Amino acid sequence: MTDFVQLIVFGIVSGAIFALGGIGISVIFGILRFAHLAHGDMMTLGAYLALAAISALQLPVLAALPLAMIGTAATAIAIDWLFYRRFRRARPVILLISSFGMALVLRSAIQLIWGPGNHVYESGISIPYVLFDIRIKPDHVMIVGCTVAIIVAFHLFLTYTRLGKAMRAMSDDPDLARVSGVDTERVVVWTWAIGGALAAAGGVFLALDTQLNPLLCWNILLPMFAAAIVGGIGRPYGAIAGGLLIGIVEELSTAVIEPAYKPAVAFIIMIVVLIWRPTGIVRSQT
Amino acid sequence: MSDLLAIEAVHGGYGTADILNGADLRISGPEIVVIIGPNGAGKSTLMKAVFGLVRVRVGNIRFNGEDITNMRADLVAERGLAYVPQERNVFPSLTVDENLDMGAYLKRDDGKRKTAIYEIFPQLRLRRAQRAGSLSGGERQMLAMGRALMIEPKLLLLDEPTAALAPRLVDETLEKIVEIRSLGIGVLMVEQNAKAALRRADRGVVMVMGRVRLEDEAHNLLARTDIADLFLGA
Ligand SMILES: Nc1ncnc2c1ncn2[C@@H]1O[C@H](COP(=O)(O)OP(=O)(O)O)[C@@H](O)[C@H]1O
Ligand SMILES: [Mg+2]
Repeated sequence: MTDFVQLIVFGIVSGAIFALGGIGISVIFGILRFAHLAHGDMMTLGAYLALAAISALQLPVLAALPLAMIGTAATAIAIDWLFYRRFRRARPVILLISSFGMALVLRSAIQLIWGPGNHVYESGISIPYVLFDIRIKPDHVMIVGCTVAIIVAFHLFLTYTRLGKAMRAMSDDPDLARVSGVDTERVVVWTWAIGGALAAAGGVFLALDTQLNPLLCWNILLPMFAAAIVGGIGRPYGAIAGGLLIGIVEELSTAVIEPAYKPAVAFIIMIVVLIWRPTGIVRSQT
Repeated sequence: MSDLLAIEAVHGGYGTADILNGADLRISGPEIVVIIGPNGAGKSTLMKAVFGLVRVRVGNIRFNGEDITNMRADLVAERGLAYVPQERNVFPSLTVDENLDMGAYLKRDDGKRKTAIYEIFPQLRLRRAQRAGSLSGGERQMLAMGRALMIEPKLLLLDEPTAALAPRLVDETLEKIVEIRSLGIGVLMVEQNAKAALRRADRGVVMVMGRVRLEDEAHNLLARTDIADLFLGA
């Protein structure tokens, strides 16, 4: 029983990270209608930007996080401006492939700047809190707490701001949004800003939980896409539910099968959910 | 007199073949103009062309004297034109209230305009927190018109506003359109219920194969037997 709860705790932590990446994948798909394969590497970039802030300014991780989010958001906007924008009217497969190219560009840039080896934010071990025999690391508390705060802020943005509503409207129907007076290019810029910022948070959290290396978040691209798809692609709230589901089931599966099979577990969840409810677990509103 | 909307010799379409073949149309002020014509004549395409959603290859479109040919749709809206497409004319995952907020995206509303819209369409107020995707066809059409009116347009383009409606709602909707005109807003509408629409309209135009073949006062068109036989139904 204790083991079971312990695995759920780990599952919530990785679920939070999948959710942060999955939201971005889902929102980018909703607005721009393509699968952003560079999302994992964008998260990795965020993790390294935090590392740069931590080593250059001697900041704690929590203070480096907002800097990494801003830096990654700016990079995402710049990448869109320089590359993806040119393919706005192209078929989605063109964007898919160009985003794969961008994934390689980002990864190579990271390797060039920070080298291929491993890094950590802070060395030393932290003492876990023990609660009814469940061990909870302070880092995990921070990861889950920050993720909840970020998701609440994102929810308030989508629900109450003019731009947030425009974003939802555009993902419903881009032409109708334009006809209503929405400057859709401005919405696209904000989509990258939010996708990039959330990606950075996910990357920093994964790096905090493990170690930095240039393949850090490329390795979790599959479960993040599974989270977005399971939740109903284009629906960010679905990606949160999908992320948690996949994170928890993946961790629980390690009780019975090799951890190396985790990606397969994500894949199986995706297939099962899609058979059971083809539009994703969050109910379609149309 | 300068026209509110002037469409001059417009050619254009979706791919290589033109759907519009020299379409001409003028609207001078807050009048109701009805476009009738057979299916596939290019009526919807003409409306999309005004909003830059279909490429105009030759010809030009002016609004209030300004050239808006191939202008981005959001900039067209900014100039005081509103458009309700025939289908997919609401944001299904947004609530009724939020759909109206989208109409106020350009010109922020302090609540007065929304209240006015709910006075014109009282049924919508009852559904304000409900998602637009769950509305009936009639309610959806009202919401679509309400969203368009939130822009405070000088001219409203309506593509077959009664097409998806139960017969008893057709007259009610057309009366709403008369009410909208009385607010000083011009209305250009495509209508299949041509007789009912022409009875309330100022002018009518007949569109065939991408151009306006005939244009007259609405009562004259209603009186012409040849038009009646061809387009107005029994
Ligand atoms: N999105 C589109 N892509 C390509 N062709 C289209 C599209 N929409 C309409 N058409 C074609 O344009 C022609 C005119 O269509 P439309 O303007 O919708 O006619 P109407 O509204 O008068 O019935 C039709 O032949 C139709 O097949
Ligand atoms: Mg049509």
